[in-house]
Amino acid sequence: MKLREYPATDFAPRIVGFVCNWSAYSGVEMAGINKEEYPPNIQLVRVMCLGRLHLGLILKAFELGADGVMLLGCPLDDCHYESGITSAKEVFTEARKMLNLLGVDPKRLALVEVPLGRGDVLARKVSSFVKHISKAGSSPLRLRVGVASPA
Amino acid sequence: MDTRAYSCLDCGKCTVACPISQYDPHYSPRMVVYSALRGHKAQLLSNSQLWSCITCSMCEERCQSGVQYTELIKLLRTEAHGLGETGQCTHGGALQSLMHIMTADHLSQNRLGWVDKRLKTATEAETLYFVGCQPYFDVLFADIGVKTLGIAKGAVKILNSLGIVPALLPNERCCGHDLLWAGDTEHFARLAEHNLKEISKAKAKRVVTTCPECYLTLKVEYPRYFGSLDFEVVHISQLLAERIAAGELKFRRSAKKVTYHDPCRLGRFSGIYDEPRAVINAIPKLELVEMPRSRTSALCCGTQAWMNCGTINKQIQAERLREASATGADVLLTSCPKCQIHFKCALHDGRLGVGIEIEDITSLAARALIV
Repeated sequence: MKLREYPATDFAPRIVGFVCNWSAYSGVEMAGINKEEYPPNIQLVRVMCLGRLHLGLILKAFELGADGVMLLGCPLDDCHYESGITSAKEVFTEARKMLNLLGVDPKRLALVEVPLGRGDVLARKVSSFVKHISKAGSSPLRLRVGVASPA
Repeated sequence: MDTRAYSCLDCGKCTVACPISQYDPHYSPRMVVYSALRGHKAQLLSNSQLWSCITCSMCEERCQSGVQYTELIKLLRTEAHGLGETGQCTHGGALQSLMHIMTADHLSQNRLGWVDKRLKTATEAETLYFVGCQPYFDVLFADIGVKTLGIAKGAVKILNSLGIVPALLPNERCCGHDLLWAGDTEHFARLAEHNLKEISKAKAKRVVTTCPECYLTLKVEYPRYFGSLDFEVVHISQLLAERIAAGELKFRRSAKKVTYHDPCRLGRFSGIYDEPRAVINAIPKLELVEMPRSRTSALCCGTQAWMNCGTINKQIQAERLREASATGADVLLTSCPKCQIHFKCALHDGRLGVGIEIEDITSLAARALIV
């Protein structure tokens, strides 16, 4: 088996993906079963519903050095809890506004609806987002890791 | 730092005055001081109640021994923070992340989108307007109808009408007030460092703020960490009162009945009580009715430093809103964007049954101003 080749660049984006347990996560599983390929730059965090997300979690991901954040949820008519994806969309809009104020390109945050069991959709969307972030470069938020002691 | 805790007479007036103790029988400032003096360090620093104090300074107002309780809390929290302890972040920690992100060395924020063509601003000027986190608040709290940018626009309008073109910092950071009061002095110092650099780049000799927290932090806390400042810090109500007395500002009539809520950082911490009232009295037909608890006895807006906000804090807010409403006023005026946020949040609960408008003194004055 041949290892997948990635573009010859030093920059490997770090992306956090919040995945809804229902349709979107079934997409992740199907992608695995069907051996769909997508770049390994995304680290998935499984949540019971994207409606559980709030601005704090998204900003925290950027604070900790994520170059991009993906919200992988369910289609509007297929939300397990009816209103979860709707509130996720509100949080998404709010977070994009906050990122813009902070001088971070709002397109570093994406919301994708993955239909039930569609591993191909998941792989395609993740690949194109990773490609987009690779092109955009690393996040402009470079936080000092060391601790400065006050005078 | 001497907090005078050793002077405590164990009389308990602090606990009687404390708004938190009113609703939480387990919380007692007297016991906190007692434990601190007895050296019950571990118990004190790991106690979740350390983070419940709303640092309103009501206890200090009542204490006849001059114990600086809020200073003690700040020091204890700094120690606890060093041990990895923290309060319960409200709003999902979004504000904490926001403040941490702002410590980044290279930021190019888009925070001045609110400046419209009618407002004259500069990049360098003798007077600088320190906006604070208002652009962020208006996004974060849009769901409860918070519009703090009206304060910022109003402030620039007022300054312009006085012939002042203020400098605005495109990369101003949070002043760090809430990190400092949560015991995170490292991140606070970084934010302060950035702000001091930006202010000196703008060649400002005077910094005007509309937020009492920014006022107190810039004026009192920054010099503690970085030595004396080469600029003066004023709250807009001080500037307004001074220019009103000089007859430089004229207002059109506004037939309303208002009551004024003293924010703790402006009132008890800075002793600015008369200036906001002078602004209110300068507006013709604007009638000021005081709440029973005003000035040094003003009740706090209920919560602090974006943490540990719960039912107890809501009860304090409800109590204050009922008190304001009982005066018969149409509008509850305040001069702090945070008080505005906290009161609007409490009003959002329909079960409260209180209908009163919340407005900031700066935006009210700007609206009534005759240019």
